[in-house]
Order: sequence, then structure tokens, then C-alpha cells
Amino acid sequence: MAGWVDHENGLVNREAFISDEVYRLEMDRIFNRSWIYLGHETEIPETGDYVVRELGNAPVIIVRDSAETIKVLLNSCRHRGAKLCRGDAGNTRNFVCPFHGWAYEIDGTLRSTGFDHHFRDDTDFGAMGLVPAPNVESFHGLIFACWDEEAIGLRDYLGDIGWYLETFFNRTPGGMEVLAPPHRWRTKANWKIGSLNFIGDSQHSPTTHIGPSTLDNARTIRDGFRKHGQDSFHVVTDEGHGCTLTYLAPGMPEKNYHTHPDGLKPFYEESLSTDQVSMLHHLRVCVGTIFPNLSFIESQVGAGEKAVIVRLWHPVSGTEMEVLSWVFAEKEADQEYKDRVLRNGFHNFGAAGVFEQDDMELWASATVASDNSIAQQYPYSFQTALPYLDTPAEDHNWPGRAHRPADTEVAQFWFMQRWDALMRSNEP
Amino acid sequence: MKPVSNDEYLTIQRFLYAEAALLDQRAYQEWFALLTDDIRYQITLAIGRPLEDGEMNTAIVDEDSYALKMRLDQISDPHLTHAENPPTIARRLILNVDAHHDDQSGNLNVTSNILLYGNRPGEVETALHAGAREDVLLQTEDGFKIKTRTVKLAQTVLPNSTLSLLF
Repeated sequence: MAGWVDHENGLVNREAFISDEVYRLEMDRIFNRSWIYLGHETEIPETGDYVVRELGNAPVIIVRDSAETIKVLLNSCRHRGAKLCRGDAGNTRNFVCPFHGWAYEIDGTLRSTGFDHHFRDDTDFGAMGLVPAPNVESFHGLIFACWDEEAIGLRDYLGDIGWYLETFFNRTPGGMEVLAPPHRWRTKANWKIGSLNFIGDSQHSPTTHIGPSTLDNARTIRDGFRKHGQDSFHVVTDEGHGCTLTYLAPGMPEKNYHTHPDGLKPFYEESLSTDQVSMLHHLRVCVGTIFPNLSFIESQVGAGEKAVIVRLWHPVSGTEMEVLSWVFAEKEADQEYKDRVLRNGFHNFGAAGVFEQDDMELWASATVASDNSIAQQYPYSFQTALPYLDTPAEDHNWPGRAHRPADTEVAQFWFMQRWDALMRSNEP
Repeated sequence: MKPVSNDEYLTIQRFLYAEAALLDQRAYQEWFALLTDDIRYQITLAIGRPLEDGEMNTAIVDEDSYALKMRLDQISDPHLTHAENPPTIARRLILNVDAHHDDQSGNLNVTSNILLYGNRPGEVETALHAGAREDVLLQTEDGFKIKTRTVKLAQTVLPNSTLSLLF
């Protein structure tokens, strides 16, 4: 099989999920050119607040340098490379390198080397600040950055998926708020398995998650869906993003904000369009991926609340990723509700989540079993995408292209096709 | 808060060892019976902050008996778990035990360190989690019951997958 993705037959070479060489190409061709999610504005509310993350595989500081602006700076001194910030988060008035003392303002400008008088007179200190990411933008508080100066703007990059993100992150005037620092864990599996899992892997739910779906404490609420029927479909967009929506069958007359607190519902109607409100009214779960490695889920997480979880599948090597997971609730919600969303959110989807533990076990198992030359002769199958790829639903009036049914691999193969196009973008 | 007597100390230590052995043996129903109905069970990860900020943690498990029961039911049933089927071969080492009487409530405040060694069958790399535990134990007619437990893991990033076992 030439290349990684066999478009004709719905197959993907296992090498794409194993190889460190592929990982290095991904850094150049995808991660250093795409808009990458770094965190949420509510993690750094005060001037001088910062968190430390990675943009591609470069360590960066995400710092609020004033009430309005956020900078993303390479966490490496321009002198001899030491990290300015060696923890996960904090608040500072400036960045002073602990190695030899170069000092920077919180916007990254070099203030003093401590030895300015030993430099040549024509030294341009103004060009010696911390290396900034040239593009930094927020979408309803979600902070993205991109190393590529030529990149299109964030809103254009998000395209049609923006409409869905807006419904989850801008549905009240105050917006959404991160409820605690992110959970972090390493998993010995390729990052794309996470992106694929969230963009539309409905087929894994009954087997991988037989535990929580059998023991589910929210069963009573799901009975409504059993009684009235549900509709489920993939949405994909040109940029490689996508999501899977499951909601009450269309035409249901009654408003049905399942488990959203009553106090929040008027805010939704105030902040969202009629169609967005209608989607939210009837939604049971939406799970999606912003290309390449940001995923989200809006789901019931207990009998009485809905959480929005954001997930970053950060590549560490061809066979390992670090996962970051944040839980969100509406700023306007009361503290007691937020506490329940947080607790139940990570009971399901956190670093000890009852869903996560089985996902991680099986993703690592797929990775180790594929990491040999015999297994790599046999590509992964995405074949259930093929009969449906070219037949989008015609009754879908919301943004993006919809595909039914949702228990196919359309969205996942769509993601792999976009990935393949970018990976081949340097080829003659 | 008064330190417990040497005799009491031995009884508490024996309880902690027996309780850890139940978890090692995956006798989850028996272990669950040692919790009070109003148990609050927490596990936290550390946050790497500057020294002057002091210790900061974030909860990754914060559960009552209902949520814990679901968690234990999942890993007890061979048909409902992949993470624990085949089961992790685990050993819990309980160390640095100390205990005081809480004069107001009459409960015992017990601190200990725990080292959880968990090996997935066939793997040579083993997960090792060190944590500081703070327990509140209730003395009942049936012996001690755990009323609260907080396990502060000495990690900012879980190094090898998510947690499916308890401490």
C-alpha cells in the first residue's frame, strides 16, 4: 500500500499510528501550521497569570499581559535556553531567567540582560525578546495559537464547526468557565486515536464502555430518549473538524434541555440563535474534534447536570500522548451546581474516569499490538465509512455536512483524509 | 489533638493493613463494607506552582458511596471492565502511619503514606503511585469505619494511563 491512507478501500496504514518518523512529519506539516488549542481564558483571569503548555512540541508560556491581551511565548531564554517558568502555572510581574538573569516583561520584551554594557553598541535588544507565537486568538475564551505566520484567521480555520462550539461555549452572556486545573495523564497510544474517538467512533461505545453504560446512573433520563426516539448523525466540515450529535427525534414539540438547570435556560435563549437553541433543547450528547487534537464532549454526567469537557491529545511520540482534560460550566451557574458538574464530570471523563480507564487500556493495547513489522502489513479498517461518504443527509439545515447513520466511520475517515492531505502537502 | 496510645496505634495499623490487603485481593465488596454510608473519598493530583505559592492539588476523584459503588461494581465484574480484566496485579504498601484523637468528634485522624504498585499482565513497566493519605476513622461496634479519605498523589501527571484502582 503506497502512502498512509487508501482512499479507495477505506484503509489506513498502521505506521501512521506508530512511527516516530510520522510523528516528526506531523510536527512540521500539521502542528507547526495549524491552530492548536492551549487553554481557556478563565485559567488566567488576572494580569500576570500564566500556564505552561506546549505548542507543537515547543514549550510555551500562555500569559495574560493585560486585561485584554494574552501572549504565547516560547518558554526558553534567548540567551542560553533555560526555561523561564518551570512549574505548571503561577502569577508573575516579569520573567527572570534563573540561569544568568536575563529579565523580560510579561509581554516577552527584553528588559535587561544584566550585562547590557558588555554588548556591542549596535545591539538590537528590541529584537531579543522571548519568541512570541505570531498568531494567538480566542474563540469564546478558548485560546488557540499557531506558529505559521501565513495561517488563515482562527474563525476561518474553525469554519462550520464554530457554530457548534459557539452553542457550547457562548450560550450565556458570561460564557463558560474552567472549574479546576486540567487533569493530566500519559497514555502509550498515538494522539490520533483520541481525535478519532471523539470525532465519531459510535461503534466503540457498546463494547469499550459496556461497564458505565450498564451501570449508568442517568438511565432514568435516557428513558425519555427511548420513549420518544432519538436521531444521531455525524457532522463534518471542510477543515477536517467534525462531531457526532445524538438528540431527541426532530419534531419533538416540548423543550427538553435535559438536566440543564432551569435558571440557565433564559440565558441560552438570550445568547444563541433559534437553531442553536433548538439543537441544545433536544441534545443528549455531542462529542467532537477540532482538527488536529482538540476534542470536546457535552454530556449528561449524572442525574442532574450536564458537563462540557475539553480534551487535548498532545503528541509525545509516535506511540505516546499526554492528555489534558478540563471541565466547564456556565459562569452564571451557582457554586453547588458547578461542584456537581466537576465531580460527576471527572467521575466519568477524568484521570480516573470510569469511561477513560477502559479507553486507555484498549488504545494502549492497539498501539503495542500494532508496533511490529508483521502487524504493519495489515492496515486498520475504516471500511464502514465507504458506503456513506458520498451521500450526505439532505435534510440537514445547520452548518457542516451531515451523515447518517452515526454508527459508521464516516467522520473518522474524513479526519484521516484531511490528515493525509496535509501530510502530503510537501510532496512534489 | 492527642496522639493515640501504643495499643491503639497497633490496632489502627492492623486495620490499615487488613484494609489494604482487601484491595490487593480485589475483595471490593468487603472493602466497601468498611466505609461509612456518608463516606467522602478523594484522590488529588499535585499542581506544579512556584515555591512561594505553597502546596496546591486538584481532585481527580471526589466521590460519595454511590459513585464509589458504581466504580467498584465496574471493576469487579469481568463483563464490565477492560482496564481490570485481566486484573492489575497490585500491592499497596502502607507506611509512616500516625494517629490522633479528635477531641471534639471522638473520631480518629489517621495519616499514612501509601505506595501502590500495579502491574498489568505481560508488561515490564509498572505503575508506581506514591500518595499521602489523610483518613478520618470512626470507632463502631463492628470495628473501625472509614468516614473520609484523601489521597494526595505525589505526581502532577499520571505517568502511565488513567487510574482504575483505589488507594
